[in-house]
Amino acid sequence: MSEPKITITIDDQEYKVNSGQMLIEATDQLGIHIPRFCYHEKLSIAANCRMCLVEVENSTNALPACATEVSEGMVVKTTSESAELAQQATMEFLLINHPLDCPICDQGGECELQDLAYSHGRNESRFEVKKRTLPDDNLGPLISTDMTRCILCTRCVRFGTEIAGLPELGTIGRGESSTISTFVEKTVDHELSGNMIDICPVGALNNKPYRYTDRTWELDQIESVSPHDCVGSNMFLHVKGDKIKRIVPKANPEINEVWISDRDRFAFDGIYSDDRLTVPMLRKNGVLEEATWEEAIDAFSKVLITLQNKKSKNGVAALISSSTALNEQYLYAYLMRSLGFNNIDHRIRQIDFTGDSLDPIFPNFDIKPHQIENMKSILIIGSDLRKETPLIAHWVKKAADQGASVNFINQEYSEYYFPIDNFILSGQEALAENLALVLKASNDDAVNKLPSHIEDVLNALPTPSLSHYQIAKSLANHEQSFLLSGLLCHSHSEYALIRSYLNLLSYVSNSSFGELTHGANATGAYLTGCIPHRKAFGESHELGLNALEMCTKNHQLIVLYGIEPEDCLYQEKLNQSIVGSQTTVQFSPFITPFMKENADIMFPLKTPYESKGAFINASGMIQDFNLQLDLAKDNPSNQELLLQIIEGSKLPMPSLDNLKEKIKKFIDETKNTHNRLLEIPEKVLKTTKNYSSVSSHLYDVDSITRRSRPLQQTKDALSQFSEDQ
Amino acid sequence: MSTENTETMELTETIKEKIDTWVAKFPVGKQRSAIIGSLHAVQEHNQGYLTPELMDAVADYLDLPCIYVYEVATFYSMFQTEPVGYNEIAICTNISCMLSGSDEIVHHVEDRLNIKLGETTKDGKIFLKKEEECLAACTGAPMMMVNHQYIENLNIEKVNEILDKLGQQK
Repeated sequence: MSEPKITITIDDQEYKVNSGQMLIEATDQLGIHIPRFCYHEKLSIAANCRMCLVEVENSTNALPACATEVSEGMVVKTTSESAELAQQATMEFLLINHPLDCPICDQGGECELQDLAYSHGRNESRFEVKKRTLPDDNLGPLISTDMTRCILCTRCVRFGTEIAGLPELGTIGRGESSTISTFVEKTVDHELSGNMIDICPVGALNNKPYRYTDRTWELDQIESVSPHDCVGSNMFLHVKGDKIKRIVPKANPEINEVWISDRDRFAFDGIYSDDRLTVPMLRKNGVLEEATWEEAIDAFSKVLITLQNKKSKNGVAALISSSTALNEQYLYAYLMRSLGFNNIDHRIRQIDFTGDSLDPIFPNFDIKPHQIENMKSILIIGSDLRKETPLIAHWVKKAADQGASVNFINQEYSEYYFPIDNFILSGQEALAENLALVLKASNDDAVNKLPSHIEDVLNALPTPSLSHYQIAKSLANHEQSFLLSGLLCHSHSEYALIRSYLNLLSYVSNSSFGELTHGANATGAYLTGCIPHRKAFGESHELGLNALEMCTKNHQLIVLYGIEPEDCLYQEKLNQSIVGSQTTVQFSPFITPFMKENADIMFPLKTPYESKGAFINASGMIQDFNLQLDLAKDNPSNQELLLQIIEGSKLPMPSLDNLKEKIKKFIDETKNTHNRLLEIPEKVLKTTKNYSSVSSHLYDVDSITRRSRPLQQTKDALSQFSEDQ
Repeated sequence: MSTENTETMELTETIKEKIDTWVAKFPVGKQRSAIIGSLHAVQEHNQGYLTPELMDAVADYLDLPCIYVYEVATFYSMFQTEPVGYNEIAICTNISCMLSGSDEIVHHVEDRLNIKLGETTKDGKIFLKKEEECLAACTGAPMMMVNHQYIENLNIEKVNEILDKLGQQK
């Protein structure tokens, strides 16, 4: 920070602090605690709870630390008699109406009001009037309300207005009858709204699925990373015994600030679904039966060894989910490659593979998520951003709120709660062309000119419209500019062409570039060689079949690791391939009726919630999850399982030592050197155009999310269901 | 920007014009300040009370989230969010009026109309407002407001006279 330092005295000690900040910010940084309810570092200042009153010299009244700016020579006493008297008086007022139901309140034990009532409250109340009671709203399946406990700090109201951008709750009524409410019967639907549970300092807004299930002090806290999108939000699992009870955010200022999406918070419920697979299954005499681990591993190894020497291109198809941990991806790729099987892929939501040879070593953001906030011009292509990555949408909103010019080229309109300069709504077939028109407009007055043969391609296009020029100009005029390609691009039939245009546009306009990817660890899948065209660490290799090719053929063996056909964009094709293939092996946490009918061997997997590992997020940041997790379970871990299969297949044991360090080093070395290809290859331009309807569903991203009961009851999930009908 | 109420009702042109004059009084982008004026206009044309549909329509017209309008409508005592009688009586019960006998007036009115504070008479003619803060007419205490008109120095006879008049209305 560049603000000049000033000297203030707090509790008889002098400190140098930055000017321009509120007293409570300064004391928080210095580690001096001042009680508060309504103040929250990420929200605007309301100063309505009056709990942070402190004594300031030369002021006759105690002043609220959250709304008092520091000034040179200020003398503050946070624990003097007058400060404490003021705080105690505030506490007494707050407790007039607050019920004494801590023993049955979920917030009990982690309640800011309860804590401060201990330190600042009276032993017994002097008020004998009847306490106020208020009706509760039904805010939907995620948040429970007990409005009688509300102390009207308005953190949730400010969260809606300032963070979500969608004010859903308000202060209704006045005086003693004031209440926080939606007023009309309405659920709270924003994809970040679960964060209101955390910021509520009392037990008014609580976690609905978790309600009345446990006491917070009985829970262990385990650091983890979200497995549901490529952002890698940090979170804490709250665990009792071997069961996850709830999930709360872990602050990471570079990735998710202090928030997590509702998907990150509530999806874990899916792992307790009834169709969980717990024992290996083996088809004997046409019937899929329970088997021992040895039997199943033995059976699978035998199939692998038999096929090993047959060099048939259609021999083995190996698909893997992009949300599996790094070590599993590495071992899976090792297993398949070592046996000579090259058909391995994780890109089951991609249909255009013509650009494979142009793929970067790994898809990557040039910047970290929090740096999006500093961008002055942002162009988002082919993305339903709020549903794909709620936290990236949050950073874009922060940039937009600070005046950045945000522009969209998209095939469907979705609502955003921040100012948008240009929204080019194009049909699916015109997405690439609209992007090319921005490129054409940018090239007109660019410093970095495009090679002439590419200019020829652009010249064949129509004249860009005013919007195209405005976007081009905005990108060119701002040094801090960012191109973001969304998941709809990934699933687009001209994905390769779109990416080529984006690379060129990034070069011409000198913008950073970022590509959202499916799953939590697509970057890892690229780096560990879970792609048909490269081995681990980007080494080139004999080309295998890509995901789409695999799904359109029958095989002697098809292996699905962490994948259900429902995850696949071309589910029908994959289903046919499974039915038509000789042997089907699925590694999965769940068993579906379809797989029960068609799988020959099934291995139960542990979900990322129950195992240890690491994900690499879209910005190339490697993050461990569940490192302290110690859930005693009979089943082997996914890693042990893969190692046993490798052993059973008579392959040399791979070394997993320092895998993460090696990958980290590799990322650091290649991150800034892999120049993006400034080329539009012929075959990419001539792609057969085969558009299919693709849209992103917030709560249908993976097998766990699909099974999460609270998420499936949300308006988002229900409206998707009615769409599918 | 209003929160996705699929079908909002349309305001009449007269009301829209009134709202426009309110919006014009404030800087561009500060149309939230025009909510009070807009609600007055809408309430006047809806027999003295507001409905969620009308409030949504105002929010929609002002391009504001609905909840902003609900907050204003429920905060101010001059807005009614439930159906009420056509005539509105608000008896001041603050300190000066109370000392000059407003309690007695309240009891009398309640008895005569056979309703309690906050209720409307069966014939829908008279609405007795639940609570009224000091209306700054302490010199004329006790006082009440009938259809936004001040009536001061009340006594039982004067109140009867007014109630008679209101009762005769069609």
